[in-house]
Amino acid sequence: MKRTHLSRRLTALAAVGALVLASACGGRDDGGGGGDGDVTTGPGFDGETIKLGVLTPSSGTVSVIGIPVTIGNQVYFDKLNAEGGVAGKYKVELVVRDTKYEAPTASQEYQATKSDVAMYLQILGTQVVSSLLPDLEGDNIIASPASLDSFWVREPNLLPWGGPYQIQVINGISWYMTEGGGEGSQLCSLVQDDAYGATGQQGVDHVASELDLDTGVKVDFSVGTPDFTTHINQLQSGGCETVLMTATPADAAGAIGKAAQAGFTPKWLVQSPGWLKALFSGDLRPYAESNVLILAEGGAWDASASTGMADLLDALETYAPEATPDWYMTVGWTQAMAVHQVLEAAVENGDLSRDGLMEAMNSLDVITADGLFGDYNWGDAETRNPPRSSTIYGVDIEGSPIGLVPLVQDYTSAAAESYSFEE
Amino acid sequence: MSSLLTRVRPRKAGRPHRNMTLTRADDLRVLRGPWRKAFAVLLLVTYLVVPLQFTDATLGVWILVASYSIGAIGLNLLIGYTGQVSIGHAAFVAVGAFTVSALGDQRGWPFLSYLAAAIVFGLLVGFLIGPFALRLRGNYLAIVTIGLVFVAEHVLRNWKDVSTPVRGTAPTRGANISIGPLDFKAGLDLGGTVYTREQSLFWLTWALVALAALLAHNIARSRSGRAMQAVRDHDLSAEVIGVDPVRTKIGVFAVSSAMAAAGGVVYAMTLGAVDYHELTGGRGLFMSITFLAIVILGGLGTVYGSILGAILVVYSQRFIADHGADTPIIGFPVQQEWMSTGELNSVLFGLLIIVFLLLEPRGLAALWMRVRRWFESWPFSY
Repeated sequence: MKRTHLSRRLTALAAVGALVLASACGGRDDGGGGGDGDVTTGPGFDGETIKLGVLTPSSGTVSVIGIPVTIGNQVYFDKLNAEGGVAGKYKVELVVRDTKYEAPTASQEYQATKSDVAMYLQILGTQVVSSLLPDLEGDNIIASPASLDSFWVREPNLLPWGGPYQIQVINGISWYMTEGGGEGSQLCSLVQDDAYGATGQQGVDHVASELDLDTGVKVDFSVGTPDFTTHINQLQSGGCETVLMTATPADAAGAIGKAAQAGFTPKWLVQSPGWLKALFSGDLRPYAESNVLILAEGGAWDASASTGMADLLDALETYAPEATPDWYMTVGWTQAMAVHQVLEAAVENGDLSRDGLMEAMNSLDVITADGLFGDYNWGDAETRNPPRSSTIYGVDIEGSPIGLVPLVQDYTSAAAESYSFEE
Repeated sequence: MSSLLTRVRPRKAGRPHRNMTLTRADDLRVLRGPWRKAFAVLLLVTYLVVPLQFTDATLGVWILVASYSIGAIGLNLLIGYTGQVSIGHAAFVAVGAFTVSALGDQRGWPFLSYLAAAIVFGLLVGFLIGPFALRLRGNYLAIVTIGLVFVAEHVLRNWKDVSTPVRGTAPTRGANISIGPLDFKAGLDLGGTVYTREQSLFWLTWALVALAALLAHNIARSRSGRAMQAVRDHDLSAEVIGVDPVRTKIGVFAVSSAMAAAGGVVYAMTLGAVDYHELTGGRGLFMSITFLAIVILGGLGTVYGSILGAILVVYSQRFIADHGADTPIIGFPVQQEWMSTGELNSVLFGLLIIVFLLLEPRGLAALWMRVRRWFESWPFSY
């Protein structure tokens, strides 16, 4: 009996203690904005420093993209901070977290950082952005995707830049199949089996329909496929002469390497995230220089190409002199430029809270990229119109620090003009 | 009836030590002795207070730990108690996660309905897989179960209505998470005090962990549990003494799969959308190995070891990600440093397994057992 009483007492004591603690501590305040004289503060802005989140793969196979994009982000704000910061007085600090290119890891990192940042300067990966969209909308946070899916155009919480992947593919195929030497060839596709891969296939389907092209097999693969033998056999036996590839660098090099081994020599039209100079500089170099075209945007890696490129090269020389030149740095720089324009508008409106940032973003008419990418006609999500032009690069390992030289710059096809972002 | 079942514990002075099992009632008690009761009270208070003391970000990790704990408890029944190796556990987690998307998000089923459906689907898939365990054992069974994550990948890749109904993903954020008037998704409103989604989900998910642990504990000490252990120790001998290995193996596969599916439901709560690439194929294999590591590090054949292992493996990775940038050897950009926090996590995860297996092969449960024995035998702790 004594023991029973003790047990009951302990239980009752615990229950009462817990209830007291629960009622004492209660729910949580969401930390609403306060005033800082001129500018309303909010999460990620304490009145002096603006913190921006970067969710990017800094480990794993896709880190070869994440690292240079983040260097582009970083040197832009290093340069801006040296000049005084946003509006000449607010310094910018990046909160960089490793997603490993995995949606669950990105979700954890998002939850861990969302209260500490004003907005996300970079979220890399179509699949990752797709999975985080419900959270971004629920938390009223803006993010700039390091991904060019056309789906982002109409998303109110996203700050995309550049022509979408679908536009890259449509322009690239249009040019190659009409004037680039691929007239009458059979068009096939080798795409990643996820949302990013779907963007490439959507582009192929649209341009094939518009130009009435002869399309062949569609082959898909998973990220990190160790051996592309069966995929290449499918393309080869299907009589493919032009192949659109949507992949990240390790898989792109794996597939193209296997094609080279098999003596399969179609023209590979590779979306921009498939390129990494280091992977094509060795034994694959002659094959890549003869058979690979990269579909992207921008110009040559040269200060004379555009104002944006001149600024980027200057900042790289000053703040990251040891960094290896990489096309993805232009992506990071362009993203930072877009976010900077939103921040300037928000400071001008006197409100750096989440609501203030959203209002500032929607108040912009155009987001410029200083020639690195096309200008983006901005406004509310329903009225946004991305650039419709693309650049088709040839591979020239010695001819350019990034291994790419533009064959056709700022090309806009009729099929790209007709592409609807409501699709 | 044995004398154990019929003897009555003497009530007068001079009775045996409180930990001695004399009656069937003693044997059935979950909380034996004052130390265990005090510890249970401490756990209860911790359960109630933790959401009030940690940030939502940290609670998000604890919710993830809860999902791994439930899955690991199921795997421990299979591996630790029955000796059947499985390296395809993530496939069953996928069953639960995609049930949340298909029924909870896409069709608006209530929480308890899609949770029950996920458990039933897990049971059914387990029943289908179980017969493989009848013909194979050890390394051969392990290899066959590896195939599960690749079969699941193939099925989900082609079953697009379930795996990728919206933009290449399977959304889960729209799924209802409420029980009666308690809305965990919007945040609990108790007596006018509103709690956040993460606070509310912590209470819900760790209650599910407690239920899973209690269920596993009861299975392990029941007739079925003894049959499982007999099959693990020597299945031929078990059959000789009347244990039906067929029923035992299929049954434990089904229960283990159902628990993994329940863990998958909680896993889906931590994400806005589920991506089948994360739960099947190569990455699914990695997740399955993570479950295996949790069970081994936590302690084979112990229920609470599964929970301790999940905390160690999942939470430590979060800790490194949060604090790794403060250490001198890592950080960003990687080109100027040794490694990123993600790479450090992978290295430490590997080292953790090696060190644990070298120093304490019985896992965290063995360490905990020593602490518990000290308290239980106090004041004669020798």
